[in-house]
Amino acid sequence: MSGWVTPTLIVATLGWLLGAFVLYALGRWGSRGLALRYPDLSCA
Amino acid sequence: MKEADLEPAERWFDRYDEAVVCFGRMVPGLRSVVSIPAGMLWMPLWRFALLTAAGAALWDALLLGLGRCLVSNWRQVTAIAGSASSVVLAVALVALAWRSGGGAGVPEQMRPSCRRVRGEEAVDRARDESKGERMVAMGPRRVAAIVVGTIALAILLTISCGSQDATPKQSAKQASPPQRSAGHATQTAGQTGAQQNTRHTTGDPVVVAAGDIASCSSKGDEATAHLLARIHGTVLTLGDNAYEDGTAADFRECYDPSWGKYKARTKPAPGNHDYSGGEAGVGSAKGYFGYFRKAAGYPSKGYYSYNLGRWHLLSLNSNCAEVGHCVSSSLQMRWLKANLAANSNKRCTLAYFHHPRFSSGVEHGSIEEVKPLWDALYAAGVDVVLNGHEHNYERFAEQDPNGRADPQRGIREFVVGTGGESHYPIFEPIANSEVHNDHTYGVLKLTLHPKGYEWRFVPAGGGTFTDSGSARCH
Repeated sequence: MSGWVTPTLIVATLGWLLGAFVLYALGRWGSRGLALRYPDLSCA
Repeated sequence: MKEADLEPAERWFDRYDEAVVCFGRMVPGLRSVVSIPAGMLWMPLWRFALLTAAGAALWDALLLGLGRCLVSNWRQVTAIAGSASSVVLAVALVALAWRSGGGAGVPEQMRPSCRRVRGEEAVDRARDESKGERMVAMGPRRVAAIVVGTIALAILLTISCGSQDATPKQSAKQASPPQRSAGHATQTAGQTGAQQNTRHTTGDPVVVAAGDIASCSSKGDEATAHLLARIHGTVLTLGDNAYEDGTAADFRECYDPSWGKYKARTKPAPGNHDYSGGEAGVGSAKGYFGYFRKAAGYPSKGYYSYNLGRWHLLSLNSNCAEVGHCVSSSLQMRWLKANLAANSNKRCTLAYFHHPRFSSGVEHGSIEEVKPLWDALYAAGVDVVLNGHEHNYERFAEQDPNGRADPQRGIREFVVGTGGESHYPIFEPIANSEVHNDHTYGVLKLTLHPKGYEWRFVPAGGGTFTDSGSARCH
């Protein structure tokens, strides 16, 4: 039974990482785009 | 809202951003979006990757470890976890409402992120990032500590239950006390049921029965198979012999290594899972019939009878849709009535099939469809019926097909779905239920005397629940 634990853990973690990278890249891209387009943006 | 109001939030995120990215993976809702602010704040990629991997690995390990620990009790856990998560969510919402009270609504809470993406700041961050400068005060030592700690915790979680795999899990629920003098259920300490039940006091035939047996993802069937090595006698399987689908591969890879060792003395009955791998209709369950061959009867029927000592035994096919439905005009019903009539000289008769007419289990419960089988068996004065389908153990008092107690002519039913695949819970016993247990794998041993029978539930894997008693035939 233990044979499936490690592969499952690795695959699941890699899946998390992949999704997280996509969102992280979106965040970076979004912040750069906002900064360039609205240099005076202030929410205060 | 003033800009100064946002400073505490900023400082908080600056201080805890690593923890948020790492442990936020375990918080429903937050885990889906936490990567976005990390990107907007230009957290260094290597740090983000390490923290995300650590958090995700810990969360996955927690779930894997729980699943591995709880094994077959996952249905009960799911029921409890469902309620618990609702409570946690409600508490979190109340806490959020409390903290954000006093005028700071959701839009204001979003402002720290808004402020973070102000033009110069984000551009500066991008520039600094390209220079390799670190944007946040936290150093690599702290990141390394978090990562190493979470990975160590993950490893501990995944291996902590390894030693418990072969042992069926015990719940706090105790067996119901016996309500009739014929039987006695106990939880014993020290001597195991297997040790108690390998002794044979008479030369009368013995049958060993259980259903819902072999799964490659459970070690319960290996545990019950050990009992078969110690208890000599005819092995009756009560259906759902090989999971998930009763295919030839399921029998070869999952059933054969455990219960298959005793195939030569096995008299099987088919269950719904034995049919699920083949085409619908008569002649399916190819895995089942291909594995047991002649011992399972004709593939188009799956029902047969034989004698053991003074007893007449019938293995029936309760997969009614597969055998022309369990109506009086069906081939099986006509055969059954004729068979019972032809063996009316036998004082004691036992029938076994997969689906129970009566069960307190919450997974399937009582199966109305097999009532015609019960009608015929009751009319012929059959003494005992053995079933599976519900993955638990239950003994009923003698009753008629309508569930009315009948100590004189009633049939005593045993549900023995404890072959090792998993456990299904019983919450409230139904009428005439005398004993039940929903957390012990094991087999039912029946000693067939010329005028009566003795039963004993033999637990596997060091279990302490047992149930024993005796009765006379009609």
